[in-house]
Amino acid sequence: MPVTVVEAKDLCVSYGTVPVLSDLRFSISEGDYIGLVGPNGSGKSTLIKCMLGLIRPSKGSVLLFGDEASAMRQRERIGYLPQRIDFFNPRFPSTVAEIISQGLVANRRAGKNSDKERTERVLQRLDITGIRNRLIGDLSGGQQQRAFIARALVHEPDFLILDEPAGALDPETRENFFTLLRDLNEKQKTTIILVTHDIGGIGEYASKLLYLDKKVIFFGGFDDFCRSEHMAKLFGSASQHIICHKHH
Amino acid sequence: MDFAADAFTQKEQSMNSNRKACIFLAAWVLLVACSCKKAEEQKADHRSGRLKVVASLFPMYDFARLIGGGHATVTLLLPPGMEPHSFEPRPADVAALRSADVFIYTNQYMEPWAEEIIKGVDRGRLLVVHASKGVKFSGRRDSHAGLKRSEQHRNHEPGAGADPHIWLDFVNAQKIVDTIAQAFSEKDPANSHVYMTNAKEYKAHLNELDRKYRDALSGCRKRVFVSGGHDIFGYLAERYGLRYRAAYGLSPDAEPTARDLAELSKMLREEGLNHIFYEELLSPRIAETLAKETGAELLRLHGAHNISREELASGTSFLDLMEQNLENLMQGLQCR
Amino acid sequence: MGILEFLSYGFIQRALVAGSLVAAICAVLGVILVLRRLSLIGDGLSHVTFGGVALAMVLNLYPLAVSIPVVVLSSLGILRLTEKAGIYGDAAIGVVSSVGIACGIVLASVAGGFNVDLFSYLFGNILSISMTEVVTAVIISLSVLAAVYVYFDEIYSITFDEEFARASGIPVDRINTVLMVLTAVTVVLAMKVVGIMLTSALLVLPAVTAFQNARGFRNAMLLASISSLTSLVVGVLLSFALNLPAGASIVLINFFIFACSFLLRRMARGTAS
Repeated sequence: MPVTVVEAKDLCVSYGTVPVLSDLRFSISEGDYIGLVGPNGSGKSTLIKCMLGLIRPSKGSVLLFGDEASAMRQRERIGYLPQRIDFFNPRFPSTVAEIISQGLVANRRAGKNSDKERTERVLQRLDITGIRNRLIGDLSGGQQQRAFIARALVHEPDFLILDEPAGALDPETRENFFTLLRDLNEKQKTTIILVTHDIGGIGEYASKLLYLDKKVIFFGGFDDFCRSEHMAKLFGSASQHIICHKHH
Repeated sequence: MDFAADAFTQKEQSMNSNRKACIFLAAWVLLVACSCKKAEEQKADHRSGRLKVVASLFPMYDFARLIGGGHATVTLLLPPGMEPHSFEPRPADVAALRSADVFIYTNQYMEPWAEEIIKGVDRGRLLVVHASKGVKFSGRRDSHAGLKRSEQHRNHEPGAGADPHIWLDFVNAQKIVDTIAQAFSEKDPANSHVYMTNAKEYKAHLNELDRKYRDALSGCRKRVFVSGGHDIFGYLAERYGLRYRAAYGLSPDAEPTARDLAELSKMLREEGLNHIFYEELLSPRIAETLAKETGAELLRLHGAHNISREELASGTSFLDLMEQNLENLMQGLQCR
Repeated sequence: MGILEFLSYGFIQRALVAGSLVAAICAVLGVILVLRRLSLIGDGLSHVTFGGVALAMVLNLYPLAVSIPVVVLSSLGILRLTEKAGIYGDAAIGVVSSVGIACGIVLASVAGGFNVDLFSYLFGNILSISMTEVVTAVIISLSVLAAVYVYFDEIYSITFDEEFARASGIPVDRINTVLMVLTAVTVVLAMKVVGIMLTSALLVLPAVTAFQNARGFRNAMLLASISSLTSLVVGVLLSFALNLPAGASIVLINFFIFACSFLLRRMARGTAS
């Protein structure tokens, strides 16, 4: 029986009296590759943070690998790529290697080692070996993003959470990136949830779609999505067509 | 509707407000009574003819006390234990001055705040006495009150920029005693003879003290002493032919620099001094550092600006302090 | 008087030993504080230290012994204000710091005025540091350095991206509290070296100097430490050579090194295309 990675039970989050997420009920299983989409302000980032245990639900709960998200201890199983604008200060003096090491702290705390090998591997995978000792602020947007992706992947997590990862990447890098994700998902059964605005492309990568607009509008496989008339109405048949056309 | 209850609460309420009024009235009466009593006391002072004297520093306080005898009530403005160099007068101090007959202070350089508080007082009643009047000032320059050089030159007032610790020269001290006695006589002519007699007696003590110092310090092995405090004892040193260095040289507030400390350590070693002096009321930190550096022992040299609470309680006098100083000086200068 | 003779004095040796270690921890913590936009905290906590010293004088207790708990509690108070009361960091610092100064003034007045001893805490009294104080400073400094060393990866993570740090399971709140306490203790020790007025400089200048040319976070820490240590030693020597107050000399050298660092960077950027 596949492991349940995330389970949301009547999850509600409000900032004061303003509801951001209402009555979310879904579960993500091991090996799922989910595209999380929705309009601006739909609560996508909030949901992500709930899953990570960074925000406490106002009502209901969200379980991460069976534990209540904020109490879940095995953090080395999770890889996180936050949205660029949230945290990044390019003037902060830090090398790419140092940033990647941030991703290894959880491993260290769990007692795992072989940091050097992991770092080498991820540097090669993302083709950033040459810039490992460069200051993050001196790099191009694409290189910076690759560094942050490396940070999310370096400790080989079971569950990857990526918040709009591909925006800054050039087409070739993006291609490589999504290939990498697919490899991880197919070969290592890495569970992936990817927040994106790219409705057009999402069908190419993910196996499931979670459409959020404060509530779960749709959660399921692309086939169901494509066959649904309800979806056609919601999206307009043209959009639905694009997504479903892309989905193989 | 329970009229009985209503009526009861109404009665209770009126009783309460009555009670409050009574308490208020009682408090008011008490307040008036107290202030009347205070006025009574003050009038009693005046009716009994006692001079109300306020002195800024301890030596003036002690002299005034002994000159005035039973005919004067003398208070010291500086609270016990307080270091005088940065005294800030409070409203209570100004009030004390308002009801005083005589105010004695050294000069504007020792007590720069004095001019300020005098301004707020009616000079018709208060006689202000400059204890430094007629005193022989040292030629040594000292920017004790932070006088700018230009001010020093323009100011032809005696004592401008000079060391103001005049009371540590016992001949000057006698002049101060005369000045105080004259002032008392002026304010209270009826008891003039008492003041003059007391002054004469006290001057004799000071003379005796001077003689003691001269005798004791004439044949000492060392002719120099070092202090880890302020530059106070210039007059004393000059009078008895001694050399003297203080850690806080010119500026009263700035820490001695590394070089100052190095030079003082060197001086202690070269002069073969086994003792270093520290000041009253001030932390002996600097003296301790120098002592640790050279292996010297600490001895106190009391500048008599002000005394501690314990000293005040035990009735220590200026003469007592100077006797103690002599003991310590003799030890430090290796006189015995 | 030559340098060798100067260095033979016990009070110079004590100043250099204690001063160097305090300079090192100021540099290390300064890097963290400046990156987290908490530069003002050095100033704020040093104002509280003033209150602590005044309190010690009233109670006739040892100033360092009273200041350390007072400042530690205030630093935690600042943390609480930002977390619970939702006041911004700089405002919280302002609140606590002004209360500290006001209490200090009242206490100083009660104790008998602003005496010379209190002044020496304002401007530093590293030259009259006693052996006990040296030992205390050494022990505390080494503890701070040890704590930062042991938790280095966590501290870097929190400083660079606090949310990610939290997501990776680092006990962010606990470590923040520890950092606050370490900062508080460092500020009290810095008071001894450069005085309350200049403590902020000792925390901020080495960090800013390092950031001019740092090639990474670890590199920044190293550069800050070197700059701080150099400033301390040269500052003490200079204060002797030119007969100047030690505390201010140290800060001026700190600034001089920053200026050089800044120019270096301008030149490097100029030559690079």
